[in-house]
Amino acid sequence: MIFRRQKLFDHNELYKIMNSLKDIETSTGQKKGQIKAILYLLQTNLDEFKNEVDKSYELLRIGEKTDLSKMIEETLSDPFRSIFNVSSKIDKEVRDIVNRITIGYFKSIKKSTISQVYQNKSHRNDLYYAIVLEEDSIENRSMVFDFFDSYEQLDIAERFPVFFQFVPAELTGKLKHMEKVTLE
Amino acid sequence: MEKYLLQAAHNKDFHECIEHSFNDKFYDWKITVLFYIAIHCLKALASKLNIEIGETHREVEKNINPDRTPHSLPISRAAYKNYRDLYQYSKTARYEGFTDFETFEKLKETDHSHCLIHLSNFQKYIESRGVKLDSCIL
Repeated sequence: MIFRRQKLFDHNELYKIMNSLKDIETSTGQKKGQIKAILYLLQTNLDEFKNEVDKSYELLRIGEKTDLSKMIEETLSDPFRSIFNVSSKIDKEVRDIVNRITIGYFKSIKKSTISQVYQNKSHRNDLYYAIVLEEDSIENRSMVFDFFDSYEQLDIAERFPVFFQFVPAELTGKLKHMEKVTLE
Repeated sequence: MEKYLLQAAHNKDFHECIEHSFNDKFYDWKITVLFYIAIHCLKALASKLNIEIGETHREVEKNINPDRTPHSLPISRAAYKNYRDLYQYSKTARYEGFTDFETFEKLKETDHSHCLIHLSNFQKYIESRGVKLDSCIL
């Protein structure tokens, strides 16, 4: 066995977690506290994973396959597909992060500048937003451009391009394959 | 410098041509042409000053953005924003499929009117740096 199982919730462990949380709140021990918290999360996840491996091992002995066993089998029989699946999963995660950051920006400037936002429902890597401004002026458009200009300067922008279109409120009914973003 | 001015003038003539012949159509292409006029005006300035600003958009952006260092030809913040906005409009100009075509044309018509203002401001800046753009002004 590679890992020795850890006792998760004994008193010493709880004491350590409480200390970790306290450390996070203090500036001097902030990094140490963060490391402790991350290690604790890793420990928990590894423990869960260990249980899954043990269960898969035991079930395989009697001819049953868990999701983990099936995944390993697929990887062995078709490694390229497996790599492709991992890559697609990472792409989706990154796209979601870019989307969340962008919507966060829209929310931050909503009151003064942006009235509504719609986004594409496609699963392609690119993100497309239709933006309705409170008042369609060069100044308000420029505020939105400022944000996308900052994004464009990141290397990630080439792989995950972001497009946007200013749309008057009266034309939002003409948008297709798009859903309204909640900005509240 | 002359070759860039000739290219800018060539694009300006093309824009005038499609504006004249298709006054209420092809705004996506008109927007793209306006951005190319801006690029050639910028390259004319770089050439006049004997400064290399690169070929790709990312290279050019890094070299002219006043907020980035190192940069070979930082331009004023206002001029940079005019250039940048033209770039963004041209990038999105041909991105279609989220409206019907009639709506797409209406949206691009408004974008085009903004692009004309940005290009005019940008060209004024280039002229203020000593490049004569007589044949390239819309």
